[in-house]
Amino acid sequence: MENGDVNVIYSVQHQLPLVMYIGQYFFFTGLSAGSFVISVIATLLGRKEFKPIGKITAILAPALLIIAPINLIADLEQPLRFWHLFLYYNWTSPITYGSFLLTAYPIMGIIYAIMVYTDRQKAAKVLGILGIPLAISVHGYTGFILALAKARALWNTAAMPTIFLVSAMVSGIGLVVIIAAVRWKWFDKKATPETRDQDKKLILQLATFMAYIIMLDLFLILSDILVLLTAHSDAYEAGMLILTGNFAPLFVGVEIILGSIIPMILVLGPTRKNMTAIVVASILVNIGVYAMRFVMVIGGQTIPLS
Amino acid sequence: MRSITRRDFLKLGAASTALLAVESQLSPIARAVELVDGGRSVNRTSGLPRSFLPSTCTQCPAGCGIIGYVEESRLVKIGGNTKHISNGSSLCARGQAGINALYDPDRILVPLKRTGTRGENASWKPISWDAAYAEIADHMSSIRANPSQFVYLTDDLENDGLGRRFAHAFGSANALGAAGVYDANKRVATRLTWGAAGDMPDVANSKYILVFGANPLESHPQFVGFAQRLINGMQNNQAKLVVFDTRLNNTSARANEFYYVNPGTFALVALSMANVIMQEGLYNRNFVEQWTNVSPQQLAQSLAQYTPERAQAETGVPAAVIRRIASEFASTFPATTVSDSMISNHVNGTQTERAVMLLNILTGNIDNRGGLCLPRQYNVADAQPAPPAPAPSGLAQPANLPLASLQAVAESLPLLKDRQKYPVGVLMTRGFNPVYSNPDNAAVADTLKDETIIPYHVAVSPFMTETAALADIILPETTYLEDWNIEVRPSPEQVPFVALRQPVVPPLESSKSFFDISTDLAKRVGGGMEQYFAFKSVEDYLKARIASVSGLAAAGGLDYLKQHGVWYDPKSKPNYGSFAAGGFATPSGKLEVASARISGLGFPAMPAYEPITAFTNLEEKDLVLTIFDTAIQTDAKTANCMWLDEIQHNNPLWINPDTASKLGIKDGDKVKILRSNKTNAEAKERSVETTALLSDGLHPKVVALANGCGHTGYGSIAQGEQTPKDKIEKVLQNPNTELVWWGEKDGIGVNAKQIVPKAVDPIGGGQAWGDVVVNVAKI
Amino acid sequence: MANKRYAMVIDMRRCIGCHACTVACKAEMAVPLEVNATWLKIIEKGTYPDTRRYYLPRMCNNCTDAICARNCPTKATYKRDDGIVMVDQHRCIGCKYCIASCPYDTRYVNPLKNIVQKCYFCSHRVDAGLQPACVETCPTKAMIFGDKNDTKSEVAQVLATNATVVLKKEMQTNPQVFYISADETVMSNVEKDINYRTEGTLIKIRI
Ligand SMILES: Nc1nc2c(c(=O)[nH]1)N[C@H]1C(S)=C(S)[C@@H](COP(=O)(O)OP(=O)(O)OC[C@H]3O[C@@H](n4cnc5c(=O)[nH]c(N)nc54)[C@H](O)[C@@H]3O)O[C@H]1N2
Ligand SMILES: Nc1nc2c(c(=O)[nH]1)N[C@H]1C(S)=C(S)[C@@H](COP(=O)(O)OP(=O)(O)OC[C@H]3O[C@@H](n4cnc5c(=O)[nH]c(N)nc54)[C@H](O)[C@@H]3O)O[C@H]1N2
Ligand code: SF4
Ligand code: SF4
Ligand code: SF4
Ligand code: SF4
Ligand code: SF4
Ligand SMILES: [Mo]
Repeated sequence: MENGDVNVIYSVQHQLPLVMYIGQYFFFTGLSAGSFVISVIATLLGRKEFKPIGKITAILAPALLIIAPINLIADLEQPLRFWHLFLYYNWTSPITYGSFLLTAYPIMGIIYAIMVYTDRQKAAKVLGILGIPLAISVHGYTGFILALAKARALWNTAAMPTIFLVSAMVSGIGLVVIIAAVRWKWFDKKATPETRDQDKKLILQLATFMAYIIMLDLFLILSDILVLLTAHSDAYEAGMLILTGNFAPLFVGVEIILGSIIPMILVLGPTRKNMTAIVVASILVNIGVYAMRFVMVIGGQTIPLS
Repeated sequence: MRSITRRDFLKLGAASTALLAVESQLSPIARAVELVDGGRSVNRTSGLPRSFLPSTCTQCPAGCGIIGYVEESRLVKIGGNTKHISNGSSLCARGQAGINALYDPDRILVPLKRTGTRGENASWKPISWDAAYAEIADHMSSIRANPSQFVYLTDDLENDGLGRRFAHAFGSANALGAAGVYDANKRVATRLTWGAAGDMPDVANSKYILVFGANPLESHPQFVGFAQRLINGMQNNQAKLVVFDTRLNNTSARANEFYYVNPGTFALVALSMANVIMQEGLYNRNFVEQWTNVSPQQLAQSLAQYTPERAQAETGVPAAVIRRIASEFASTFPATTVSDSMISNHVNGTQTERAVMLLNILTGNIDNRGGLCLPRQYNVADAQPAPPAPAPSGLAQPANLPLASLQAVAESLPLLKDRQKYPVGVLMTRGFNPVYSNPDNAAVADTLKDETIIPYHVAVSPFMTETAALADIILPETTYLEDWNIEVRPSPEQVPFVALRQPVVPPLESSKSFFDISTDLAKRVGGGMEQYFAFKSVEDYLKARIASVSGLAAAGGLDYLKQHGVWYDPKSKPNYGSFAAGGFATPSGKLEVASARISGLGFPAMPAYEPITAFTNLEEKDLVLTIFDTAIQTDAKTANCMWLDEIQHNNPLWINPDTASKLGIKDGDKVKILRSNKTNAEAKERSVETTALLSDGLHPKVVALANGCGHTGYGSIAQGEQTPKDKIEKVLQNPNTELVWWGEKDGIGVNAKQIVPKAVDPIGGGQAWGDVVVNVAKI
Repeated sequence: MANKRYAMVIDMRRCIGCHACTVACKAEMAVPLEVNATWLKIIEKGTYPDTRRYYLPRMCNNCTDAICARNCPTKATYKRDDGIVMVDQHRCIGCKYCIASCPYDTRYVNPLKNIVQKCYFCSHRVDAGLQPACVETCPTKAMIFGDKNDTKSEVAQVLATNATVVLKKEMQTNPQVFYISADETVMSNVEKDINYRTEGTLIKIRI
């Protein structure tokens, strides 16, 4: 009892129910949703130069979404019972609508990818448009999983699903930029200097887009924190936990500075034409978003409830 | 206010239990609306009732009535015996956890013979019972001509009487009990004053309760039954609770008023209150004149020196408070004091207990409803034929402590070092762990390690305790849950009872009850001692013991007890004021406020306050150590109960934040506690290390350590370690023992006894646990 | 007759902080080491010599508006007609979302069975006409349990005649464990300088 006058003589601590598998799962669905949206934008714009990116992302989206649930199932205490999710659904649980979304979305994604690869533009566009709400829901629902667990002050905010979506966009674009850049540098055999220029421009555009979304993300996070700090006492504790407490290094250091501000400077600042800087920014962005998932999932559970 | 009192509700419970016995065949829906409090148990998944047997808990001295619930011959749960007059359906944490002791993964299930040297390098080899008996009989036969070289050491001599019977039958008077390390002072004080050892405050019916150095809501010799009634008294009766202690504990936490008192001075608090009561004429003149061996004038005169102002100066309790509490106590009737083994805590303990009793005497609160009552319990005679008691020896009855009969192990054990005077041939220890529990326990260990002092040591123990670890041979006794005994206790309900301990499961593997062990050994050793162990069965032995209890035979005797677990005369009401008929069992028949036996030893005949020399010239850096029991552990006994250890597995040093800051100690710091008693020259420098726990619930001159931690014996659970699965006997296997987590994380604490020097009250012979002066430093 | 609605009242004027309830539950429900279906919180408050000690026995509140049940994706967590919130041990997939959702942190994963469990108000005992194990054992009878819809029951009468509080009322889960005379500080989880000492640090990442 150094400063206060309350001395906890005995209590027990509790299990941390959701571990990083869940954070990873959130991260991968986020990447997937982000890539899908990029792919659809590419498809919709219909421009030839967007095609390669449209193709990469069309594959990425369902592929990442197959990795994601592996995390989810690995986290189950009874993984062999995962099918109970479909047999004994409960519509008041975000996990239930999640599990149906999680099934529908990759199926749709695969069909979409086939359309893209077989160059059936029209079908791809229609599917893409139909798919966007699905992708948004798939990732948005992960935000709802946290937001609807009202026990945890850090999660229980209206901004949570949107923050998840926006950060998914950020990390998704980041991933696309990285892959496109790698392709641009080493693998694009058919490239002419002209298409290379075009591609580079495109990648830089994507990165700029990413930077703007980072700004949006930062704005959302800022408003979330402001509300936390001025709301009830549990919320205040939650805010302080990530601002100055145990999770501050990850949140302020990694998520905000390393994962948002530095990439923004790299992408919008003097290095904005430098491919290496752009790629570094995209990697940082992904590290930042991963850290965000960690801070949210793990940090949100470390405030004692009793 | 509650419309149904607790008591009514309990009655209701009892009535519906009877009903349920008839209705239990019916479907659940047809049953009584109100749920019943116990007496049955069902399987969690099948809902099927479990078979059960009533018995008695001995996880602490209280001896609560329990029911053991069994499935497939495995004990699966322990519940309270709703029929038991003391505790009813209630048990404390330790009673609930008894199952852990029964299935302790490190339990000894076969006789073990030591190989390698005694002490650290001992290793153990299983041998047959036959071989073990033969070896012990050999050693005993070799001292057949000098039977007093057989020494038996136990916790509670009166408990089953078997050890004493065995020693006496062999011809040795040296059956030593352990009361000297607990309530010897209290026993002597009460015996001298009113002719009975002990007391039983009738707290359920009291209106004013003064607690001196006891902690009845956390540790009490009748814990569950007593705490229940104390709370009932406070809640149903609006009794006021006033506590004097050196620290905030679970009792002072509930008190209406709580005062920190300087350690070892509470006699002065009591005597100054007695003084106020006399001065202000608040005493019960008739009672004092009729029932004490002193006159009010004598009393007033001898108390006059204890002014509240003096008390304030020496005890730290304000004079105004002493005056007010004294007059409240004297003008609220009935009222009582509660004092406990902590009275034995100091070298002035016997007189302190007498000072506390005096408050009840002056106000006529003696053996009345709501007052300080005589302990009501049946005397269960020894089974006949009983061996004649050999002439007392200097060991069992140290010459310097004539009043402390047979219970003075704190004094006796060191005497063994005088090999000429007190030669030992065979030492048998059972149910007592002096290497952990005695003061200056390292010296006890040294004595037991020394083969020239103790040539042969038989430990009768279910567990590898610190003491058993220093044996030559270990006989695996059953635990209390597999054994028989007649259990009597002073009744907190003031109606005496007889209870039975019977095996709720058969002895595990080849463990044996002490009845079987002593009978088998007596036959082997022979020479006449076998005639005292000629009972056909343990049941015959018990029948012989309860024969003396009037009324029980008519109710069905042992069979009744086997079925119900406890018997009391259903017509019996508390016979308060029993002394009115025949007087007190003292030489004068009166309350001997002035004791000739005490003055015969050269001490004041009247209750007096004698300052503790160890505290007289404390320096600034000196602190007094309070050692306390918690609601979770019992002394040395429960350390292998995982459910208890999970809650309390270590014992930080409680220290007042101001004291700590002067010493530069912060919460959680590692500290060294160094014994600094200058009065005890022979005591070596000893210290223990633990962490500091800063608490505002502590007297600034006092630091406190919980009892019951820091074991080096018992095995994995007490050490806070996971038990390797392949090491565990099948019958003891339990997946939980692989989940033990606390040892590595929090440590297992320290044994406070390591820094307690031997020091006894010269009157009562009780060990002064509370007179330890220490210095604390950050490390 | 109205449905039964089981409820618990814990009278802090009678509680002596003895942990008997904790251990009784371990035995009755075979709760493994590391986890607790019920536990006791003890705090000290104030400065010497005006220090006080307060207790709070905690367990699942068997909430009427149980968020754990609402959020359970398989309906493994469900509410009985008598209000007891159950977990179907065969249906539960162990997603632990209910644990994350419970505002009182009263659920746990059984480390031996990999199943989510909690206090069920000893439903098996209640069904057999018995009081819950913790209620049965409580040395001072600080716990009162029964059908609060039955006006003749002790629990209904105690509820009717005493001021009671529940934990985190603002969570709107409608807890069915009521406290008499509980201290506000010990009920709250947010304190400056939370100082856990004897804790089991069960923040254990199970991989
Ligand atoms: N510093 C300090 N020391 C103290 C005290 C103190 O307040 N402060 N208190 C003192 C007091 S009051 C007491 S009573 C003593 C207690 O000291 P002990 O009598 O040594 O301790 P117990 O807890 O009674 O346990 C004695 C032994 O009983 C055996 N035992 C346990 N369970 C069973 C069972 O089921 N069956 C059989 N056959 N044996 C069993 C074990 O071998 C155990 O070690 O300690 C004293 N020591
Ligand atoms: N739960 C539990 N119950 C038990 C036991 C147990 O270990 N645990 N042990 C059983 C046994 S064997 C015994 S002998 C009894 C012991 O029962 P108690 O005599 O109640 O034992 P303690 O808790 O050691 O001491 C009581 C109080 O005395 C205080 N005290 C110590 N020194 C002083 C002093 O100088 N002045 C004042 N005013 N107070 C002081 C301590 O702070 C403590 O709060 O309990 C029995 N019941
Ligand atoms: S008070 Fe507890 S440990 Fe002592 S006999 Fe009763 S139930 Fe057993
Ligand atoms: S206390 Fe928690 S687990 Fe229990 S019913 Fe309420 S929300 Fe569910
Ligand atoms: S862990 Fe089991 S009970 Fe809890 S939400 Fe998941 S399926 Fe339901
Ligand atoms: S009601 Fe039963 S399950 Fe719930 S805490 Fe009490 S003993 Fe445990
Ligand atoms: S058993 Fe009763 S008195 Fe003991 S801690 Fe639990 S509620 Fe309080
Ligand atoms: Mo004792």
